[in-house]
Amino acid sequence: MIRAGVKEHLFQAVNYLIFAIFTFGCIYPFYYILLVSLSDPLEASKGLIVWLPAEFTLNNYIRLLEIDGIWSAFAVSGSRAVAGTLITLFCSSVFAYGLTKTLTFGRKFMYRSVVVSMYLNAGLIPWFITMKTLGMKDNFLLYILPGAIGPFFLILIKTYFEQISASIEESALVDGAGYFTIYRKIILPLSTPILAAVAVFSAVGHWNSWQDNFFLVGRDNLQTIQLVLLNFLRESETIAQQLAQNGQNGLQELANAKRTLTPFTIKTTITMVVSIPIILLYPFMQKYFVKGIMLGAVKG
Amino acid sequence: MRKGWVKKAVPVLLAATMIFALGACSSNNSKENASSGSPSSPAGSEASEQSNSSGEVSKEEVTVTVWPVTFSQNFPSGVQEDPVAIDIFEKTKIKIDVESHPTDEKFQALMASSDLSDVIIPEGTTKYVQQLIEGDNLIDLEPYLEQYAPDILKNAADAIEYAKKYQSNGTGKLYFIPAGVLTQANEKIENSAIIGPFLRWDYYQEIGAPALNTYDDFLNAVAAMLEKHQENEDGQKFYGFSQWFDWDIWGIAMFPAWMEGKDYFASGLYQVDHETLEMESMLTAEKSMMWLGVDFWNKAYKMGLLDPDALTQKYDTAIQKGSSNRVLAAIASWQLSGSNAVLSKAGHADKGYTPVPLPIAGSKNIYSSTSPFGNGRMWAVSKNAKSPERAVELINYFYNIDNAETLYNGIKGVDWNEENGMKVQSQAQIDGLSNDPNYVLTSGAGKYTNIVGLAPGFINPKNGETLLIRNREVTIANQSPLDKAMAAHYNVELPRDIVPPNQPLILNKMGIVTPFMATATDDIKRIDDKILNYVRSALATMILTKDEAKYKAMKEEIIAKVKSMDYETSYNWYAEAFAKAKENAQPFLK
Repeated sequence: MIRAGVKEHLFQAVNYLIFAIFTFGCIYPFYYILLVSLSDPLEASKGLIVWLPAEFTLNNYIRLLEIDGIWSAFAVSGSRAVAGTLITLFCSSVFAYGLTKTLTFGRKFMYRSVVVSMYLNAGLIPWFITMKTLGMKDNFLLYILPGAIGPFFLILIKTYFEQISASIEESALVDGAGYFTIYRKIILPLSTPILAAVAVFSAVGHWNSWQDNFFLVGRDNLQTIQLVLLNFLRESETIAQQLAQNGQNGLQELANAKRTLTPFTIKTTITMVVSIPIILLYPFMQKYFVKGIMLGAVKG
Repeated sequence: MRKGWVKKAVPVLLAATMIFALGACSSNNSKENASSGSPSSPAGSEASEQSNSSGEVSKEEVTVTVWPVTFSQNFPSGVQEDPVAIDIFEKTKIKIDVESHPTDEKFQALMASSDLSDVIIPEGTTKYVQQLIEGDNLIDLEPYLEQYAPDILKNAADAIEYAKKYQSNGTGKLYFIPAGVLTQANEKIENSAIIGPFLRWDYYQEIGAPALNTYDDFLNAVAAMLEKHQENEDGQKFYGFSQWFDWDIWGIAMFPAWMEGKDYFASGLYQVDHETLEMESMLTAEKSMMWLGVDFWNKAYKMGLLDPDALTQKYDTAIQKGSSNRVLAAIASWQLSGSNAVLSKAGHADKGYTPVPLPIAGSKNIYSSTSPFGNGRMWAVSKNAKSPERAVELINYFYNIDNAETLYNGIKGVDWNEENGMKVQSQAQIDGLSNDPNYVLTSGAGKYTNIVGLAPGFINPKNGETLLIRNREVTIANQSPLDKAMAAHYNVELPRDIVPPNQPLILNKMGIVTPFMATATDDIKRIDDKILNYVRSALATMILTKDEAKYKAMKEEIIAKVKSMDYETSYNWYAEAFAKAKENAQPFLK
C-alpha cells in the first residue's frame, strides 16, 4: 500500500499555496481592472474597490461605445486582423515551403536577406517615405500587405517544415503530386500547430497596431480601434501639459477648456474593451499549441 | 498534356493576378490623387479669371488641408462640418480639412517626405522656422496679401513687419503670419487670474474670512479650515493642498511669480519682472520666486497641509483629487473647479470653491497684456497648396473682425445676438456652456480659438468691446449662488470685479519682448536640462525637510551645485539674448 507520509502532504500543501498565491497575483490585477471598469467613476476614485465593483454600472462601456467612429474602428481592426492574418499565413508558408526545397534558385540569398531585415531597421522616415511612394497612404492595403512576410514567422514556419519527414513528400512526388498539391494536402495539415501559433501572433499584432494608422491614414472610416481609443485617452493629459508650457496664453486656454479629465474608470474600460476579443480568441487556439508541444515531445 | 499545362498555368496566373491587383490599387490611388488635384488648379485659375473678367466672384469650391496646433477638444480629422466651418465655407467657398491630432512626430515625418498640408500652423512654430524655410517648403505670401488678404493688412500690420524681419530666417520674405494678435491692451482692471489663492468658500466664511495679505495668512487660513473640516461630505479625508510638481518647477515657482509680478521662462531657470523687464536668476539668486515657492510648500508640509503624495504624483491624479472635493485649497483655478459640479449635484449649490483667486493686497498680479506680434503661433502656406490664393483667403478669414467674432462666439442669431447695439450671449449658449460638454464641438463656438488671427481680447473698433463676448448683464443674471455669495462679500457685482484695494493696472510687457527672443541652441538646452533634472529632485527633498538648519544647508548646497553645472554659460547666453530682444522691442514698448 502506498501511503503518502506527512512530509509529502506538507510539501504538497506548501506547493499548492505558493502556486495559489502566484496565480492570484497574476489574475487579481486584471480582475481589479474589470471591477473598476464596472464601477461608478466617483466611487472608484475613492480607491476602496477590493472584491466587488463599487456601485455597479455599465455606463463606462456605454460611454466608450458612444465615441464617434468606434464601431467602424472595430470593423477595421477586425477585418484587418482576419484578412491580414490570412495573407500573412498564406504568403509566409508558401515562401517558407519554397525555401525548404533545394531546387529553389537563390534560396539562401533570399532567406538571409529576409532574416537580415529583422535586425536592421532604417527608422521612421524612410519607412514613411517608402509607404507613401508605394501608394499606401489612406489605403486599407497598408494594414495587410507590408506584414505579409514576417521574418520571425518565416523562420518559425520554415524550421517546422524542415522537421516534417522528407519521405512523405518523396512518396507523394512519386505518386505524381505537384508541389502545390503537396503543400496544400500534406504540409499544411501537418503544420496546424505552427500555423495556429503564427495566426495568433499575427492576429494579436494586427489588433494592437496603431502606428501605421497614426502616420499614414487620415480617413475617418479607416481608423483602427487602438488609435481611436488612444486619442480619446490622451485628450486631457498631453494637451494639458502642452498648453501649460505655452506660457500665459496656454494657461488661459487650459483654464478655459472646461473639460473633465478622463476618469480612471474610462481608462480601465478601454483596457477591457481591447483585451476582451483576444481573451476570447485564445482558448480556441490553445489546443493547437498543446498539440504542437505534444508532437515535438513524443518521438519515435 | 493538358492537365500538366493547367497545373503550370495556375500558379503563374495567381502571381500575375496579385501583381495586377497591387498595381491597380496603387494606380487607383494615384489616379484619385491626380483627379482631386487637377480640378482645383484650373478652378483656381478659373476663379481668378472669372473675377477679373466679369467682376463677379463665382468661386469654385475647394478643400484646403489644415495642420493646426493641438486643439483642446477631441474630434475626428477630416472636412469639418460644424456651423462655424460652414460659415467659413459660405464666406470663402473653402472646405477645411483639419488634422485634429497634430503631433510632433507626425509633423516631422510629413516634413521629411514633403507631404505637408496646404496650410500649416506648427506647434511651437518658432523652432521650425529655420527648417521649413531652408527646406524650401513654404510660399512667400507677400505678393498675395494685397489682393487676397485685406484684413490681415489692416489688423496685423505690425505683426507682418515683425514676421518679415524676424521669422524669415534672414531672407526678409513673408513666410509666416503671426496669430493671436492683440494690439490694444485692456484698460479695465478685472480679476481674471488663473493663478492665486483658491479655496473652499463656505469653510473660509466659517473661520471668519480673514484677509490674506501674506503667504502665511493663506497657509494659516487653510490650516484653520482643515482643523474644522477634516473630512468631506462623503467621509473622505481632506487635504489642504495637493499640488502637482511634475511640470518642471512650475508647481513650485508659479504661485509666487504671479503674486510678485514676475514671469518665468526657460522652463523656470530665469524670472523677468513684468513691468521693469529686469531679468534675474531663479536658481542662484537668494530671494527668487523659486525659493519663495520652496519656502511656501515647505511651510505647508510642516503644517500638515500638503498631501504626502504631492511630490510624486502626476498631474492628472492631482486634478482628479481636486475635482472630487478632496482638496481645500489650490494655487491654480482649474484644479478645484470640477468639485463645484460635484457639490451642486449633491444639492449644495451654495457651497464650493472660489471661481477667482482671493485678492492679496499688494500683489502684482498682471491684469493686462498685449501681443502685437502674436502669441507665438504662425500661419504658413506650404508649397503643396494647389492654390495659394485660396489658402491666403482662408487665412484672411481668421483675421477679419466679424469672422473672428463668429469664431469665438458662434453663429450670430443662434449663439449670440445684438441687442441695442450690444452683443449678448444667447440663452442657448449659456445653457450649453454650463451643461453640455460637447457644446463647443456641436456649435463650433470657440472650437478654433487656438488658431484665430486676432486674440480674444482684441478690441473691436466698431463698439470698443472685446471680440470674445462677455456681456456683464448676462453674466450677472446667470451667476451661480456661490458666485453671488463671493461677489456680495466684497461688495461688487461679479467675481471678476474682485480686486485688491487701490490696485494699479499692471501691464505685462513680456508679450512684446518674447517674440524677439532667439531660440536656445542645443548646447544651452543640454545644460538647462541637466540643471533642471537635478533641481527638481533636490527641491522635492528640500520641501520635505523639517529641520531648519538642514533646510538652510540644502539651499546653499543646491546653489553651489547648480553653479558648478555650467550655469554661468547658460545664464550669460540668456542674458545676452534677452538684452538683444529688449533692444529690438524698444520701438514698440510705449
